[in-house]
Amino acid sequence: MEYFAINEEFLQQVETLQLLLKNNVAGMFGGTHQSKTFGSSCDFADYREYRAGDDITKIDWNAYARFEKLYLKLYLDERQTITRIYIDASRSMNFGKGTKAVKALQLAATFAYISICNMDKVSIYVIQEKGVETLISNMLGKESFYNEILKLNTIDFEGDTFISQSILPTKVGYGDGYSILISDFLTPNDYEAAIDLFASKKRDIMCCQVMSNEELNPAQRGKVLLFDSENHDRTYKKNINRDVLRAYREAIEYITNGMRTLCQSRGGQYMLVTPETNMQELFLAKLPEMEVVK
Amino acid sequence: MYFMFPLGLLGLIGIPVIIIIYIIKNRYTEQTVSSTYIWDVAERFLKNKKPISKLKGLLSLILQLLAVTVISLVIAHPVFVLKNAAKDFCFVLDGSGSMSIKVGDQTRFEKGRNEIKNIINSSSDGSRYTLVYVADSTRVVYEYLENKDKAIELLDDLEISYVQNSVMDSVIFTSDYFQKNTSTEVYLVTDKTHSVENAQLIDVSSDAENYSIVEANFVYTTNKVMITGKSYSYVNDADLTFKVKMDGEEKESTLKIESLGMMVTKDALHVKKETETYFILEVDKPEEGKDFGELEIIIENEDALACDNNYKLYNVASEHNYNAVVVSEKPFFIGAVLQTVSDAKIFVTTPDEFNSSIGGYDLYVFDSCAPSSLPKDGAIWIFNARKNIPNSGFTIQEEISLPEPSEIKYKVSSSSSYKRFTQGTVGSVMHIGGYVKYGLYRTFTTLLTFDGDPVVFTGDTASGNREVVFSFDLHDSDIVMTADWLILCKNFVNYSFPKVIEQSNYEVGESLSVNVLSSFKSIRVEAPSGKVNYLETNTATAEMQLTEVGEYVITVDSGTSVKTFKVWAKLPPAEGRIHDAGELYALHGEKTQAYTDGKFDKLWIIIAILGVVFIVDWIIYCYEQHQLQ
Repeated sequence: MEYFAINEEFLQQVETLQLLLKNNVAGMFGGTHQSKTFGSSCDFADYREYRAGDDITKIDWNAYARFEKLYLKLYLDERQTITRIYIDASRSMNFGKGTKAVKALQLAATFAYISICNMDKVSIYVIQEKGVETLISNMLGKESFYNEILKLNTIDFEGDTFISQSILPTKVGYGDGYSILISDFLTPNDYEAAIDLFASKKRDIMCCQVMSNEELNPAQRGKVLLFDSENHDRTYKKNINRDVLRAYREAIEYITNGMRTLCQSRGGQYMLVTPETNMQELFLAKLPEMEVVK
Repeated sequence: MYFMFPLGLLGLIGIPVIIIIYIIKNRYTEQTVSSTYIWDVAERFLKNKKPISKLKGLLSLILQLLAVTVISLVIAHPVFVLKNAAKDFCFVLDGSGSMSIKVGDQTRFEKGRNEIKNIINSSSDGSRYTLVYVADSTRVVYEYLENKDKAIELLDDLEISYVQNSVMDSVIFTSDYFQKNTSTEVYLVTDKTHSVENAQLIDVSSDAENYSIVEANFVYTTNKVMITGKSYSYVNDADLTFKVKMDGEEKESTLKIESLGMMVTKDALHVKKETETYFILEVDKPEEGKDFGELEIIIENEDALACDNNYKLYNVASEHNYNAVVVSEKPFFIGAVLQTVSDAKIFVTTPDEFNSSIGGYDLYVFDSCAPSSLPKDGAIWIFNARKNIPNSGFTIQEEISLPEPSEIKYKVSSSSSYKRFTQGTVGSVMHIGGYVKYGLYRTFTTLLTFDGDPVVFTGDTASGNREVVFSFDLHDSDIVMTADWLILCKNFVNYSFPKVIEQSNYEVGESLSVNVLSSFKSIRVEAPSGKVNYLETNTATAEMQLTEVGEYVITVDSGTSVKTFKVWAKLPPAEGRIHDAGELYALHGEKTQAYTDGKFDKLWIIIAILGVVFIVDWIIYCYEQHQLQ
């Protein structure tokens, strides 16, 4: 089943964007992200006295002429990061018209493309039940992007998701870029531990909560017995009236605010996306405003 | 408790039907959603429900069941029994004239009526009410009536009669009710201080003052109208002042009383209590050529009973004004007798001058002549007709000339009409010299005969007017010289010009008497209260009992003319008494306390109100549900 197609026009609009990292970059190889360590970029950082074994090409001879001491000229290092994108592939993400899944994959592809354009590596993982499957590993370069990104269409949205139990055993990296978690987070299962893990590994965190209109404004009225699409053992039996709907709206507010607070407390970012969210507006206006990209 | 219409409970069948429909239709709809997580979280935000709100889910069903139950109960009309609470009540209400004496803002009658209403209202449902009303007659208004509202409504409909009557007349009724049920509560509502046995007296009498004009009359003097009358004060001595109205317009009057054989002018009449005191009031006569129709004498002093403070006198002569035409060559005898025995205006003409088209007279006298046709608008007297007159009721058979004056004799008859015409006659001996033998082809009352032939007879013409026929020439008879001539003519005048109203002053309770002429189409009597009655016209005298104080207006329509007469009905003097001792009002037997079970059936109103509230609530609930959809 094809969920999305590459929109080259849109990708051209976002390719000048750059993911802003807040944590110290601990990556290797040359990238476009400035590390807090000194390296070989063109941006001057500081001087220090020469020590034996230092690269003599870095000696500032003008400073030697003035102070008759050898000083090395230091520059900021620019390093390559790995953007890790985790996609919740539970059944709820593709329930009904499936537009939540489409939006989730569009988000993943766009974040991947922006990272690729920043000379970063991109890995995309699929979370399903209690495991994580690597869908795309260390994708680098646009050609590789165009070759591999359509693998997203192979994701089979089925079953339940245990985000924390899935991610905790995996290698999530350390201080080397963004961990982007795309899910509806409509699960009683724990996901806080996973976010804590990202935080402890000094990963930049971005949580994208994708919710459909049916979830935000339910159409159910009267006496209903609701079955959970992921697990039919989970049911909800109620006479849906005005009071219940009011409580439902409060519950949505509670869930989204809880997510936002959790992310912010871990130094991460949160955004709520619906299938109707305009991607141009999101990436060219909202995310720059949130200082996620520039 | 029992149900007045138990079939209404069949509506309760609707309850199981509703429950079945509710079970069938009101099942949970199964749906799959992406996640039930939000719904589970929402549970935390649902406010803690009170125990009663747990029924909210069943609210619709509960309301429907309640509505069906309520409607069924309302239709079934439950009646609750209250042990030994109901009684039989028997009220005797005095509606005589004295009950119209004022007690504060209301009359004694209204006060008594309110007392009865209070008793009815405070009695238990299921009680039975009987009302005996003593007014112009004593009658049972209702008996054993259970409906309180109806009992009060009928009580409200009663109107006071000013007739003199006594509640003692009701004993025969109340005794009967008491004998049937010796637990009957008998209440005697009156202003007379009766002593009672097995009954309760509700005394509505009160202290007050009352003056009245007992009677009055008037005579003409040289240039005055002199009113004589008697006045009365029921409680205390009083100085009364009067005013007089002539045809509704107040006239200056002079009060005179007789003192030591002299007439003395006074400003006020001193009336000793319970003593009839004579008075004379003088007012100026109307202008020359005019007459008045009515005089009203009014006591100016205020008292508790206003209806006996005035008195009206009517000038009957002005009401009974008739015109007569005598068609004769020799009208002397007839003109003289008419002037003597009647107040009619008399016109005389000769047979040649008389045209049968002439009309407008109340009496036409044809003496020794025969008109070509009889007038239709008045009475007819015919003397010595020697030609046939169409529609006269007789034909000429033979002219008989007697050799010597011969006596005519009264016919022997016991009929009422004969008696009426011969009333007062003394049996004078009358002679005639000749007569015309008539053959009668209509019914007449023969008064005098000669040799079996009718010579004086009366009857009605074809047009219904009264007819008197003499078959001989007055000039050829000595009848005009006899005493019976005047008496007979007086009777004929009364027959021809009957006084519609013989008497213009009555006492309430008496019967108004109206003489009915054959030409009367209708007799309308309007009472002082405005009530209108129509009297019978197919009788010689129509009567109606007068039950109100004041002026009755009688309007007589005879087809060609409408005449109005007035009579005054005064309050019986006995009814003007402020305090009046009564007799012993005794119901024989031993009073018991065996009351019947009371019934309370007003609950259905409460149930109905609850039903409406529930149904409204139900509609609102359904509307909310509809909005949620």
